[in-house]
Amino acid sequence: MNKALHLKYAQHTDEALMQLVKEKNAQAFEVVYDRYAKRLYNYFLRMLWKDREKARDFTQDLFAKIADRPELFDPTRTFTTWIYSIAHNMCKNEYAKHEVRTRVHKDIKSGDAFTEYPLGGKGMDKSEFMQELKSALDDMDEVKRTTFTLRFDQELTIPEIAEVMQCNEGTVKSRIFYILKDLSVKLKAYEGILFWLCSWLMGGF
Amino acid sequence: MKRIQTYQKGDPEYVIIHKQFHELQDDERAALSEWVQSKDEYDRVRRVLLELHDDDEEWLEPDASIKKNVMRKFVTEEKGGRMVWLNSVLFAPGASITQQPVVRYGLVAAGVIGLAVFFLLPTTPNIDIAQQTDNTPAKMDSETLLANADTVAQQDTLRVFAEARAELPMAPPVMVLDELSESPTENDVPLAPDAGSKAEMAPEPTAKSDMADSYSDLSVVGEQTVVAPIPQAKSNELEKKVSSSMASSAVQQNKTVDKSVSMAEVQRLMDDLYTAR
Repeated sequence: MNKALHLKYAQHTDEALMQLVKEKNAQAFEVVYDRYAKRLYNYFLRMLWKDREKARDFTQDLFAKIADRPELFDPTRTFTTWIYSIAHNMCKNEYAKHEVRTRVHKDIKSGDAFTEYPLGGKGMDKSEFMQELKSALDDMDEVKRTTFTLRFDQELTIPEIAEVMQCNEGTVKSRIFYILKDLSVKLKAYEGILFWLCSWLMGGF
Repeated sequence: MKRIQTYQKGDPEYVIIHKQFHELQDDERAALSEWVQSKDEYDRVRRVLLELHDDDEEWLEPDASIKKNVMRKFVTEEKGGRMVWLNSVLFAPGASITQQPVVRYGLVAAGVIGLAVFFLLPTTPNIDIAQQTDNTPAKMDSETLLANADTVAQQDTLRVFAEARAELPMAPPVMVLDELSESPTENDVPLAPDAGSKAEMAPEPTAKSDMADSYSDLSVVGEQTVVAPIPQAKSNELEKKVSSSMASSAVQQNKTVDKSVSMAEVQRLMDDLYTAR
């Protein structure tokens, strides 16, 4: 695309770009794609068990839907919540289709959760901590994982998450805190085991 | 996850990240008490949040083929959209029927065609078809002939002929079947009767008409020709000539009667009769 044109459209809001997309403006559509493709690809990646093929297909399907029916965008809503609502619903449909598979996946994960702890010094370093944290995230149910991903990965505001997940803001806040507490408990247990193991190895007790 | 953090001042995460437990104001502690009850719990949650905040893991780039595919799809849809745009040229949304472009284009086109027809078509003589039809011999009645007669002898001849024609019965049309056609239905009247059934074939006349009118009853129904038979006339000479002529014609042989042949035949008989008189 023409670089000057890209710069021009880059200054537009998402909603203004969607208005142009409705008028079949390919450059506007390309800018929208560039803004959201990476975010949504990683959202799908997180939500769909890190399955890259699925994330790829879902990202493509989502933008194909927008290309096909841009007039479905409601200008009274923000584009971010609209596109994440579509993505969220696509994931929910996928969960419904593969409910059994999800259970199996969860069972396997929960069985592995505390058997592959990396050994470390005082607890763990940052990468290990994050690895463990993400592992714990994968054990969460769909609602918690979605809330966490939208908040801490996609960085949506609480009102936006409430709109995407069709619940009130208080519910979103509660979910976020329950998730944080769950994670902190699991990570505390993790640190406790490591501390005990390290102390024992060093001749303590 | 080291991206633009969107925590706002009203968000609980904002307070937890930016303040330790002992730095919290009373109102902040009260607000957080719903979810965090102790310092230990607060510190654990804070640590998780800080780790999330400092996560420098980069997002993965989506496959370039995705962009190519969706852009191709969008361009395809755009081509389809141009057709819709053309429709909107013809059918303006929200406009009344008189303001619709398609109606106005139609009116202009109709005007142009009308003018073209008016100016370009060659002028033809104004022929009164009805008058022309009335001048046909079949429609010339005996009174007109009589009035136009030059001599007394001619007038006598025409009068006798008119009387003879006046007595010709108006028989219902008789269907002549084609050889290839199916057998007649029960409503059909047989055309080639034997001597005994002649009376049945030609019922009593119901109306008076001239000879030409009786021939005008000839009509074609599909592959079949319907002809008014010539019954026995008062004039013996006419009867003989008609009978002998028709006996040799296709009518007596149950064959299809050619309308033009029959007309010519009858016309010839009339001429002969006229001459004989």
